[in-house]
Amino acid sequence: MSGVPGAVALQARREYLPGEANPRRPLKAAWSALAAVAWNPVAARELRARMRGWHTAALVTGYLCALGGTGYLGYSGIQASASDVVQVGGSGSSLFTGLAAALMVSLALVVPGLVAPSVSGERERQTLDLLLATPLRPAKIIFGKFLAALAVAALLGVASAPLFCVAYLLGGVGVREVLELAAFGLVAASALGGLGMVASVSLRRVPAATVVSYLLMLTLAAGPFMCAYGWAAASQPEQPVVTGTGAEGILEALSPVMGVTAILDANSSCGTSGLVTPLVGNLAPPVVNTCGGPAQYVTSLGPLGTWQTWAASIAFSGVVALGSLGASVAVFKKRAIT
Amino acid sequence: MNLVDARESAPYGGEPAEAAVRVEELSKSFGHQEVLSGVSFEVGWGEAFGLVGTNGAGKSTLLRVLAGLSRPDAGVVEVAGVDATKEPVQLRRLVGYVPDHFGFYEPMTAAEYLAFFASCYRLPRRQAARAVDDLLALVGLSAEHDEQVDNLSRGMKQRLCLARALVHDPEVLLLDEPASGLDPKARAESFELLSALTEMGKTVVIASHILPELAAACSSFGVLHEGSVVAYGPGSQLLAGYPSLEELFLALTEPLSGQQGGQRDEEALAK
Repeated sequence: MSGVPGAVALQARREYLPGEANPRRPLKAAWSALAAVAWNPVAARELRARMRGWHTAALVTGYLCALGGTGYLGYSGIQASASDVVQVGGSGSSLFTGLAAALMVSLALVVPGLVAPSVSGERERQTLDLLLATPLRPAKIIFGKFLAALAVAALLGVASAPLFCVAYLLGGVGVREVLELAAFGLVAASALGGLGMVASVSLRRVPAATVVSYLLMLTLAAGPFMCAYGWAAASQPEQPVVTGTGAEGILEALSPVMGVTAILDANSSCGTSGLVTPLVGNLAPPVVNTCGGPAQYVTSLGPLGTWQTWAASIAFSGVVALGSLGASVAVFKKRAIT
Repeated sequence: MNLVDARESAPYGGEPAEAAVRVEELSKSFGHQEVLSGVSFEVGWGEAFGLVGTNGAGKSTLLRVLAGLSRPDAGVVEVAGVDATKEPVQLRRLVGYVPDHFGFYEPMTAAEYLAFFASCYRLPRRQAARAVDDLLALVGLSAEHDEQVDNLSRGMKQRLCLARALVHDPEVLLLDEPASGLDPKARAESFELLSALTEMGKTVVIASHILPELAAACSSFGVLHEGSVVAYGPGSQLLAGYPSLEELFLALTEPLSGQQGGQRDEEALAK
């Protein structure tokens, strides 16, 4: 044994059991125990790995170039077509709508791609067993990977803040809309991330998990509208299809597209912004107080009362996020330890 | 309480365990295929236990069950007195596992790799840093402290994986083919390291096909054949009458054709 370097040092190592209180320094031990519970080593490792590679830098650069280009072209177009000062003054609102729509589309494209390789990638790399052999609980592993992916999505949002500030400085945008959009973006990204995680824990290969993640994203975005349309068409066979009320309204609010439409249209000065409304057309929920004031989409949730549509959409996305994360942990537990 | 020494006191309460590993009537199936059937054996404290068997005999599955990565269908599995099915988290604190096939997280240095696993075991940062240095020295990778894992040779990666399994100072080490794919020199170094760990008091269970080195490194053996332990015990008893571990292994697992083969099997099993 003497021939093995470091053996003596290792043998001489005497440590306190992880998480066990050191009787000589109880306060420090309590702090260490608290930090150990809050600290997620999986999230830390994932974030470090993501930030070291060139992928995240390239992603943020490409995203900012695309967003900046969209904003510049939009603003130039408004200025060129504006016939008076009032129209130019309203360009801040239009710029905000365009940037927000671009941000949401970016999140929808990026988040499933970030989350899908989380667990399936560990399987492909043959590192999952090593992770499972540690005392980390499945929920902590899943949550760590989810947090790391969401942090990159949050980085995109933060990186685009200066562009949103330009829109804010041009006027026509309130702090409330900005906060609503930030909250909505976070919750919608969580829902997309949760669905991507379900695909990642369920499938062994990264490409399969990625494809299914994007399909789930499309289902979440468009599925509720298709269901609402089908429901309305079936219940009103002899009339033009009009949705947005009753069960159809609730179905539509399930889609994050409806949520972001509600936020952005509320920001426009007369009914709808004109940019995102074509997405939903006459499938939109009732608009209260159209011209002469901001649009307010509302959704009746039966015994839960009438909610603003964006708030209902945030609540639904939150439920989707929590539900899919719970399902991911359950599937992971079942499939990882066979 | 100092570092777990389950030989003197049970790490999570209760009576101290008599054996480091106790397996009783263990069965495990995947679908309709029975991989392990009525497996029973014990490994004493500080022993190096060599597990031999043909490909597909169930060695890897048995080690996965002992590591808490696979749930047994029936039977009792205890490591240091901790029930593998009832207390998997406690079990993982007592066991260090090196699988047959393993990967690495790429943009990481050798030290960061070990530090990551140390944080998974909640080792405080300062102690983790010391443990990383000690372990890299133990496996002879001190010079590769800041080397990217991807740049290491296969032998070095194997040793790094062994260091990873030791990061929480486990009582029992489970090694699945720890020397497969290594050149003779690296193989000899690998088994020398395992002998050193046994001298340090670790209980080591090694599944391997490299029988000469295994025979030299282990004090007791178990022969697994078609999902059952056909023989196990101290090397001095088990190898009596056989020139080598390989001969014993062949006698117990490779039946010859006809009456001669049958007689040879019976003789081997009787021994």
